[in-house]
Amino acid sequence: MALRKSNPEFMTGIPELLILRLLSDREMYGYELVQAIETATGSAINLGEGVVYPILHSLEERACLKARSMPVNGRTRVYYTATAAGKKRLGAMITEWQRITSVVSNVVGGKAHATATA
Amino acid sequence: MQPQQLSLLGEQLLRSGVAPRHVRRYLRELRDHYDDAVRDELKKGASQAAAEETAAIRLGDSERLIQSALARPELQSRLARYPGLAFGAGPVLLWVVLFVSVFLLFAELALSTERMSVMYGAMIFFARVAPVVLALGLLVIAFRQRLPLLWPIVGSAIVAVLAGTLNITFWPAPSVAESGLGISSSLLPFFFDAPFLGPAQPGVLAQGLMRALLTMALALVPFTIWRRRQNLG
Repeated sequence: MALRKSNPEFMTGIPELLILRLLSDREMYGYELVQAIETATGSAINLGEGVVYPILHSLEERACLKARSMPVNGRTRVYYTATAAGKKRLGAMITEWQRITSVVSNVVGGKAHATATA
Repeated sequence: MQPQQLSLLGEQLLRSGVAPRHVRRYLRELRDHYDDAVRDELKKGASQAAAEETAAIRLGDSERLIQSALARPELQSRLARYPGLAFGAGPVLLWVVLFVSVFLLFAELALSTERMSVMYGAMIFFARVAPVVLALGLLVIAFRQRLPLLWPIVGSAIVAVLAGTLNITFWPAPSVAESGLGISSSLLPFFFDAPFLGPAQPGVLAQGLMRALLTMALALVPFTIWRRRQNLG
């Protein structure tokens, strides 16, 4: 993952959305998930790799993810996967994301501004 | 990330109120993540030192790792959120309810001298042994979560005084009619004036308070030794 600075002011909710999206496809452990985020976003989003774990634990606490430990090469890896509740939450987050990006795009593109001043 | 850095991070997370089970798992996953990152950097051709440095940067600095955990209220320990309730009022209430429940349960069953002796044993356990176990348990739990020890000590001391000032007597006899089991408090007559409580006796109260002190000492001494070993370890 590129060692670039993150943009915290734009990042609220995005890591959770990405994590739920990727884990709704298949089960992954933390390192694998970070690599998947890097690949999926073309390294455009830098989470700070260690910060994914509190997000994973928090999602698990809220029953959006299910975790299971599996021994791999002499150590125990924790694999995460999205639950039905997690997929439902993902659906709601995607809808909200699309609504916000559409509104922001309009504002940035000048459509709303033009309408308001017309 | 070096073991010392992980240990320091864990300590800071515990002191910030993150539940121990989340701290343990977070540290374990960070360590594994770091190892995987070092391995990947080595594969890319980096030297051991460069691989370790890059892996540590990739993981994020301690402040960022701590803040990411603190930003999630679900990871906070409930005991840390309500220490007065968890370590003060809760244990006192629990002990009183358990003691009264056991007393009522056995009172129903105490139809023979043998059963009465079992009830006596249970009362002695709850009044003399359980407060020590409870105090020790509260102190250990609070220490593991790096919480201030004030509330566990207050809660344990109240239980120790309530239990220590209980006087439990048993008169065994071949028949139920002749045998008897009595429980009284040497503390309550100082606060309430009721005939069934008996007279206030400072001497008996002093004995009870000594028992309470002994209870606290029996919990605090092994706890202090254990804590010192933990800190040294």
